[in-house]
Amino acid sequence: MSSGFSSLHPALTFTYFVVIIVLPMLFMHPVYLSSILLATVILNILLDKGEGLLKNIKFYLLMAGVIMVFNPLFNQQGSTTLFYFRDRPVTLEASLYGVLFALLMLSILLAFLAYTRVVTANRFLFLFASAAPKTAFNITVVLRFIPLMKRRLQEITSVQQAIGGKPSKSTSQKAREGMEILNILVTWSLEAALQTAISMRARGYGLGKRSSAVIYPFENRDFYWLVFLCLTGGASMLGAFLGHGQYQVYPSLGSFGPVISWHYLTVLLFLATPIYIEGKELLQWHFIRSKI
Amino acid sequence: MLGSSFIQKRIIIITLLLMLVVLAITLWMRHYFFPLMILMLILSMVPFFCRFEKKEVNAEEIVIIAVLAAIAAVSRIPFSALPSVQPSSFVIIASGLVFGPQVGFMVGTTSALASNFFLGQGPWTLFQMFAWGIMGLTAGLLQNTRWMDHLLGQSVFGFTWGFIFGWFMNLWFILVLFESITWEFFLGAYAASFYFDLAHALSNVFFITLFLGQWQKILGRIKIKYGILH
Repeated sequence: MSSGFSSLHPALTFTYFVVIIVLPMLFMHPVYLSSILLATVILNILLDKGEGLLKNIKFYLLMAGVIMVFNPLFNQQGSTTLFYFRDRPVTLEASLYGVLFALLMLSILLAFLAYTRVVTANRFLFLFASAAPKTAFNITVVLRFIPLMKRRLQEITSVQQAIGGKPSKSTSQKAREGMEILNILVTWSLEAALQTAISMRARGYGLGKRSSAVIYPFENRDFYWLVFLCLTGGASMLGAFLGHGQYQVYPSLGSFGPVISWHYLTVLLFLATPIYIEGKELLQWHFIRSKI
Repeated sequence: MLGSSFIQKRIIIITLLLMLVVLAITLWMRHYFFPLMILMLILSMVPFFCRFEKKEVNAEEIVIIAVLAAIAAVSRIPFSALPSVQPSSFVIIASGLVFGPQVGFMVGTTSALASNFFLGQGPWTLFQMFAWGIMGLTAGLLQNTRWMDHLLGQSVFGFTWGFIFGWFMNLWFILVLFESITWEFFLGAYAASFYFDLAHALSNVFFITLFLGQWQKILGRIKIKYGILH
């Protein structure tokens, strides 16, 4: 069911997200940070028409807002005083720094949002099954158990209600009741789990190397994109260490300097990769449909 | 042939470690404390996972760990009416106390990672994995000590961890701002989280006082009945 960027090999998409989450931490430059934020916004919109974005935007903006407001209030570095708040200077530099941090935080959070869409639990576990098979398997079982436990919890609660449990008022009573339910859940699940284990052994658990239910083959196309992403992503990070993408804020604002450099273009190329892949597919679909 | 592949493996591991050390030093020198912290968190968890990978783990053990982790993850649900009361930490402490440090660590980390597949991954995932993992680990290390033998010691343990967990989780938010952080900001942020940390600590004490004995019995019975996870 996956298409576009998500259909690339998990190793590629995972690497892409590691880099795009690290990149904003390396740059302290308004132009760079806004470009990254813009790219993550576009990517999120392309991935799920902005559904996830709309759902979480309040929480994200709150977090960014807290940073934006509190940095200038608690930090008096900088030479240009804007106004005084409770006898403390609020400086232009610290305010700008707050904005930069807010941009940084937003781009990281949005990158994680897109990550959840693209690198699903299946893909993540496929990736780590070779490096840490037992841990990956353990997580797989937990992921299967969580919905099961939720269903059991519902069942226990409705039985409790049916045999006359009244909704209680006080906090400690509520907590006690919750814990009663949890006690039942744990005894039930542990006994049932041992049956699961016996059944697993009967089907040959631990006899050989574990195989994966879903296999993501590494195609030619993946290889080309891997080379491209490694080159642009590597150059972007290396450039940060060489001093690109840094903007002087303290003690007073520096000049922008030439923004368009080979480094900025490389970063843009890197950022645009998933947008290009997603967008291309979207357009293709659009034109196929309009011909019919 | 076996020898050469062994040496090859060693060389790869040593090269990787050297590269990581160089990366860490560069990050430190350049004041990139947030990426550095994330790198350190991952590296400090790797040995525990390696130990788990090396051990013979049979089907029962895997499934028990998974059940406990899943229960820790869903245990918020029956308490949804009570904000900031959630027995996840209690479940992890109980698992560590009964089944030992390795299981405590695995239950803590996997429940954090797995529940975030449903709730949304973020920079906090790693911090949660680490904090809950170490919570289970320390509970396991104190397994047979006199300290954890009586209710007072157990409650103090739960209370302390309520605060340590909150203080540690604050770091992910604060370290992003590291470059311009002041003591005032730092203390302000920790004062703001005090109420939540206190609620966590008190609910830990509540669950431990009322239910830890019961849980030790339930889990201990499984342990003896099936002779697992010794």
